[in-house]
Amino acid sequence: MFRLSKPTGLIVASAVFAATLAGCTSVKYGDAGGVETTTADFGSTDLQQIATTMVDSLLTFPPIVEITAQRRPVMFVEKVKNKTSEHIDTESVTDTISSRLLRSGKFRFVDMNKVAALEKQLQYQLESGNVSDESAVKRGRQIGAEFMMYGNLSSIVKRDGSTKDVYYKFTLKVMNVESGLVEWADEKEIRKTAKKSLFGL
Amino acid sequence: MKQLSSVAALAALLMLTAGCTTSGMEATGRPGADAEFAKHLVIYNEALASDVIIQDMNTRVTGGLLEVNVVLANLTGSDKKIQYRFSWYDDENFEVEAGAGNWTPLLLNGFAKKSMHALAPNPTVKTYKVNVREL
Repeated sequence: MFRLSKPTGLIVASAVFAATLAGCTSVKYGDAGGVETTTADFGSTDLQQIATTMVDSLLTFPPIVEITAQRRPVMFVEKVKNKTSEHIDTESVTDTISSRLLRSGKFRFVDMNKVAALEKQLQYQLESGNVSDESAVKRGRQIGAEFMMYGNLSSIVKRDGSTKDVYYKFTLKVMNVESGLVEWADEKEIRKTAKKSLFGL
Repeated sequence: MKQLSSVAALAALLMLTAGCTTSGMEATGRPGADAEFAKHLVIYNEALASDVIIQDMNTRVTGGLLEVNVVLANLTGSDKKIQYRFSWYDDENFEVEAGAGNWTPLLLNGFAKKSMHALAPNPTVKTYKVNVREL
């Protein structure tokens, strides 16, 4: 059995204590829009880059510029399929895209996730007897969506020892609900490489 | 004595790996380029400010939105890992959607030029700035 002499044991204990002191925890607020490179997994920078590229591309596409010059077409967002092996909240990506499109003043949206809540409110106003006839909203006046936004997110992951290479491809399309024509489509590719090094240095 | 120095080395290594990361101080720099272009560039690092300039810029209005294309040039032979962000201003010089813009990573190779493209978030935007900092 290996035993340390008393002074050596004391030195080891001091070393461990020093290391414990050095490994401090600090909490600080960061820049939500800053570049995040913690891991090669899908992160906030990827989400923001995808949203910016897609919004810029859609709003500068000549036929869309022409359509939105005189009016604000109504759109609804269909789910973006997550075909990657990661758990990614694709709704968060489409939320950012639809928010930016809405704030650009070029598009309006109907939220299909809130249809049930809207119906409940309509029933309350029209059938509960609690809301005056003058202030109650009328049925059959909602605006139908002219366009549907949908897409895919896929990835290819490769590993070689301590290196991980991830390729993401985000495809987004806008379809005319009446004609079934795809009016616009674009892709955003992202490549990330992560290397693990000794001691995390 | 040998044992003592080994333990000290181990402690130093532990402290090095476990220690907190601190970021450097940022300083506002001035790009040495065309004054017309330079007023659109904000660099948050003194060393970077003398190395990176706007070489060319073009703007146009598309569908009522200001569209910007900026060519950033690396004046040195070493690669620059930077991040950039566009900030937008209305005709009264108020920042539009302040803090909403995100930083984009960019690798600017030695003596390389890269163009960055952006679209204003809404029609109230009249001018812009490109913010650059180290990655």
